[in-house]
Amino acid sequence: MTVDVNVPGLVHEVFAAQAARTPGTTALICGAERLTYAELDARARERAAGLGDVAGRLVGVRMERGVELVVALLAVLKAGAGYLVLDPAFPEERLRGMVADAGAAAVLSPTGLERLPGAARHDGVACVMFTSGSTGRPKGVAAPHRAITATVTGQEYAPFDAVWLQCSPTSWDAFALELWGPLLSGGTCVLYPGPRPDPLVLARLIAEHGVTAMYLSASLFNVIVDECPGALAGLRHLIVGGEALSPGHVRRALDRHPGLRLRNGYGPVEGMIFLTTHPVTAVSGPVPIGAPLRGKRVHVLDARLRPVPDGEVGELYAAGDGLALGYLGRPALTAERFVADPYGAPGERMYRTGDLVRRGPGGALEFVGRADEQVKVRGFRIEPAEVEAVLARHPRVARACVVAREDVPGDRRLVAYVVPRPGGPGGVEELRAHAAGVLPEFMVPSAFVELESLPLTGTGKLDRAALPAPASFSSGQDEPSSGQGEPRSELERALCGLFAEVLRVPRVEVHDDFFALGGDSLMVARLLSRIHGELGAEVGVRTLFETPTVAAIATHIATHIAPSSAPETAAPSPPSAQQAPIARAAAQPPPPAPAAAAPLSAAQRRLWFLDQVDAGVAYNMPMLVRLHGPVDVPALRGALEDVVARHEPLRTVFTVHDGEPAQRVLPAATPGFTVTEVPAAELDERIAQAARHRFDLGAELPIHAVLFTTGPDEHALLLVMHHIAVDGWSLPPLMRDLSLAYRARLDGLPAAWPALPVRYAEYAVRHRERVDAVGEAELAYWRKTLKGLPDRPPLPRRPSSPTRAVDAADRPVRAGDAAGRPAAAGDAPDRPAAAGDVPGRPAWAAADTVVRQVDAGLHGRLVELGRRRGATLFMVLHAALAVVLRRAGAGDDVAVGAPVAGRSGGSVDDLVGFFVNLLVLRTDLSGDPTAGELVSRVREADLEAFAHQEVPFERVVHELNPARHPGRHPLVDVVLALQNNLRAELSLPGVESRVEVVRTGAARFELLVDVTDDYLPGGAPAGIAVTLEYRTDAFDRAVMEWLADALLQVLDVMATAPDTPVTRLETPPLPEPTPASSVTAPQVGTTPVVSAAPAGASDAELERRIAAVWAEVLGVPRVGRDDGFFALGGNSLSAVRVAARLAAQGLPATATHLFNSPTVATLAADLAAQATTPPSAEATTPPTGPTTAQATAPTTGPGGAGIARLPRTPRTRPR
Amino acid sequence: MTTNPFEDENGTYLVLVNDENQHSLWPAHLDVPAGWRVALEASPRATCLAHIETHWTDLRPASLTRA
Repeated sequence: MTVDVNVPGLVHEVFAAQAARTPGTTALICGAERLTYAELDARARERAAGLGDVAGRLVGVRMERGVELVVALLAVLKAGAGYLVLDPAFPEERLRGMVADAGAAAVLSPTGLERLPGAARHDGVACVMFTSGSTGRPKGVAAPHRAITATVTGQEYAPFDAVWLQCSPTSWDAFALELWGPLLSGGTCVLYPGPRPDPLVLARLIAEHGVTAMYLSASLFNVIVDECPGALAGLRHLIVGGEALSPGHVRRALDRHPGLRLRNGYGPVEGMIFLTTHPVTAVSGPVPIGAPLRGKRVHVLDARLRPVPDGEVGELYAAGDGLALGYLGRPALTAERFVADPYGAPGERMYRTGDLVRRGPGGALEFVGRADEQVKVRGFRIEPAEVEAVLARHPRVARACVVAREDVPGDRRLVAYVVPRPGGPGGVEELRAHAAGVLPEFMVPSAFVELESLPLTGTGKLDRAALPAPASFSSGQDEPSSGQGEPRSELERALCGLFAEVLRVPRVEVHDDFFALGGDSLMVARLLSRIHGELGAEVGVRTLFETPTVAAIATHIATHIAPSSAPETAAPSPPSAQQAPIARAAAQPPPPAPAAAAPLSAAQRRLWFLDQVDAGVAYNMPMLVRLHGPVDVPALRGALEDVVARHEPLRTVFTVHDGEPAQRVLPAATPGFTVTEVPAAELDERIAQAARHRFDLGAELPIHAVLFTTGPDEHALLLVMHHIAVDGWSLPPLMRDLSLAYRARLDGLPAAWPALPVRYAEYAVRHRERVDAVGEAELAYWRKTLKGLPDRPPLPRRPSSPTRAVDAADRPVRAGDAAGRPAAAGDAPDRPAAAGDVPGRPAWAAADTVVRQVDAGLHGRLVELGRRRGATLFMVLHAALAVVLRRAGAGDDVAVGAPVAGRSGGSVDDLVGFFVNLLVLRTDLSGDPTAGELVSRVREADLEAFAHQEVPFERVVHELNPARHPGRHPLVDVVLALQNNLRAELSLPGVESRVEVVRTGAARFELLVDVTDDYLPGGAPAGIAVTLEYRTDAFDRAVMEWLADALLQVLDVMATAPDTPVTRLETPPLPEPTPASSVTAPQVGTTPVVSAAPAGASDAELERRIAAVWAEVLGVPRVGRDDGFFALGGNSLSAVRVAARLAAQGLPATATHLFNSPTVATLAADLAAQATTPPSAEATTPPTGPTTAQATAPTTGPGGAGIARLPRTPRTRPR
Repeated sequence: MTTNPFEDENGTYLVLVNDENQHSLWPAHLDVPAGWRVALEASPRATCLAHIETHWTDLRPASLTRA
């Protein structure tokens, strides 16, 4: 036979030919660097000349991913050598071993070229890739040029004349696909700038460079689909491989991106990149690995090397193009894996993959499993024996065994079992350090378990099934039964059974902690779904996290969900049927049919995620109605039930399946209605307390009522609602319907209201479709309009500028003067997620308010000013606000957010639900226009923006992908809301009522300018209430007082003298920001900020949030501030997941941060440092030292921070 | 699925060589494929592997080294 390495088709020659054809085409992009084919070719040629005579040798290239790496690789090939990529992230010892094993002649690194003695000849080898070796040593797979060229040219599984994103580790064979694929075909290779891909950055790169094709390992693909599926938008070709694909993830990706051509790619590195691929269009079960590439052949053979019949399992052998020459320096190993091919040309070899496959009905191959111990963890191929060999080298280890466990489906981890030598164990940390010193990160076990001996089967082999789950997941298991944990009721017994089943432990006692027994976030989802399925009770995620015991959950079910049922009294039943009576007893509200589950609207999804992330009570919508007169309490209670029956969003709960929230409209549900007598003096406090109810959206209705009675005919009805069900525009119909139903109840009749034209869920689906169909023109408008928007307007913020304040909201403020038209603030879609899905803004920032009143006279003049310019009152207010923000230091280019109803069409006016969208309105103040001209300018800009209000805010953010900062809303820091929705009024016969907004004291934005205009019955202006709701961690009260005063003054001058240039509009002098050291001695005219959040608390808060995300992602019960991410079992993929979740919370986190700062404390410091906005104007942001205000650190009040995502309170919790 | 024919520690194997001087372990009970000659007659697996280690020191295909 003839080995193909001699045929034309050397990688660098094919590249050179391509460069000659398309010299000016962009070949390579990395960050800001761009090289054309001609430039890359020239640079590589130049570099090759400096390598000296290395022809027929191997050259190690030790560089981070980047343009220089590619130039170096190409140079090595041009010099006639083969390259060996040395990932700088690998331990030194491993890299040295690789260089030695390969017999490399030189190592090229950023510091220069190091020549090595004793190099072997490796003619014909293009590259060497090391992979885990079962004999305890990694093995170098030597691939000839032809293996690469034959795999990435002349193929049809993907277009290479395209823009490819390269993000696989450079040591993988997929790197050759992503690099040489485009470079040999005239395409463009966009290098991911950094070692570890972050979904957010991926999304940006795809959008920025028009990437149309890429490869993802199945693990990374799953993370992206879970965490930010929007990242795949724009891609046309995606190949996923490395491991079995998850059908669920594939389905979700295809549902979301119907135009995406997705392929499953299969192949070991010995066969170069892919042996087979399979186009995935619909998913119904395991995804086949498909058919071989052109020029490649596969055999499915039995133990006598005979082809097996279709449908039967055999071992896969690969032949033809793509095969490696062998393992460097390992002749015997090569001869056992690359063996004579009885079915090929004479003398040809085939590679036995060790993979078991079968040929399916359509001829496509299906992967069945491994014939040996090799495992894949996160796309990395690992021989457990290699890890075992490393562990066994530790002096204190007598025996070691390493297995890949998938205790949590979809989360395979490497677990080491170690039998220590007599003399005491070395300690898990020492072992981990030992392993990490030798092995690359992906081969370091996530958990170490010490055993007295390894369990063996009767035949003396390792009994894998008997290996216990890692101790860190099952602490407390060994504790002897106290005898007090026996279930005391059928409900508890049933729950114990479900806990044990999900946790896979033999028994669970009623006081056992779910997380201490090894529960993690995925198991939570499973447990809750079982509880729902078998007991008919919907228990929220948060409930389980807060009270993770059988006893507590049983109490919760009994009191919250089925107050009238008494599971305890249920007759004992045989264990096999024990759930049956409970299922009936506990099922109230009755479990909705599965069909009732529907996807969330974009707006709901945003709020749901916020709630999950920890929005605290910031998205509560408490409405207070003071009632003076005789109230028929049963009628009012009944009326509320009627309203909840009428409006589905009010009886909707949100469940999670496979990480994806779904809404379930309960067929019938009774809202909570509490009647309580309180002394008048305590009323405000009680209202404040009740308004801060923390909703469990998974288990409770998003509405309930408390009727406070202070006297015979004195009541205060507090409707506590969650924003996810109700927006400002919902309140008028809600109050109207409540009034109507109350009257009907008094009359003993059913409420006679007109049928609703459409259901919210239907509207949501239609809206989603419309949004999906948003045209390029719409998006282009926002891109153009918001291009170059200043990142963060410099405003006179508090000096320490903490990322987030802890809740200090013990004193909610009722904005009585904004009566009847509650803040639409939260209506404003909050910061959307990363790539548009996961929102998450640090919530629980304490808010304070400053209130001002525009009198009727000025109100009238402002309306007139607008009328002359064809502008609305909103536009006039907007212009004035822009002037004041400019005066405060924001510059000439000012962006303000504005909520809009999102109810276009009119058919939804009577619906209760969450519809609101947030628009970004940009104002150009340059050129010193007059006040009147500015109003005209604002009018033009606002009208255009309103014309494009169909595009959801999160979509705009996704398009623009602005820099995210901790604790900050993207794009806008200041929101202007004119509450021009109808007044909400409750009208009960014989009762005087007054509707008031209750503020929870939690801020949704840095600054919300909430404006309510009032008119007399004839339409005459009656004044405007202006409420500034601001984050106390961002602004001093004095500054906000100034801003409110300045706003009124500017409005006044604008109305009086519209020809005044805006720079000459008078405002009061801007107060100096309170220096931190003088907090105890406030300046004249200022009020000390009671709820200031000192930086220290903020750091602790940041640490707490980081710890919470780690705990969730890693599935560990607790995370301390000095715990290392990787020591807890973290890996690069979970780092990506963590980064995505932190980024979704507004933190500028990338996976790289986790590698650089691997403890909670260091990461927090790192992120905090990064988030600090450099002072843009010394006058407004003086540097400060440690602040004495730390002494006044607010404490979390009752119902406070409400952090509930953590299974356990992290040790670092600052309080 | 039975054991792979190349993984039987107690089995008997051949060492095959092709024109490129590439070596292959081969189960002794199976027919020798075309283009391969027997370099070591039926022997224990370990013996075959040792033979390969000592006789196949240059993994480069012969056509390359001849050139």
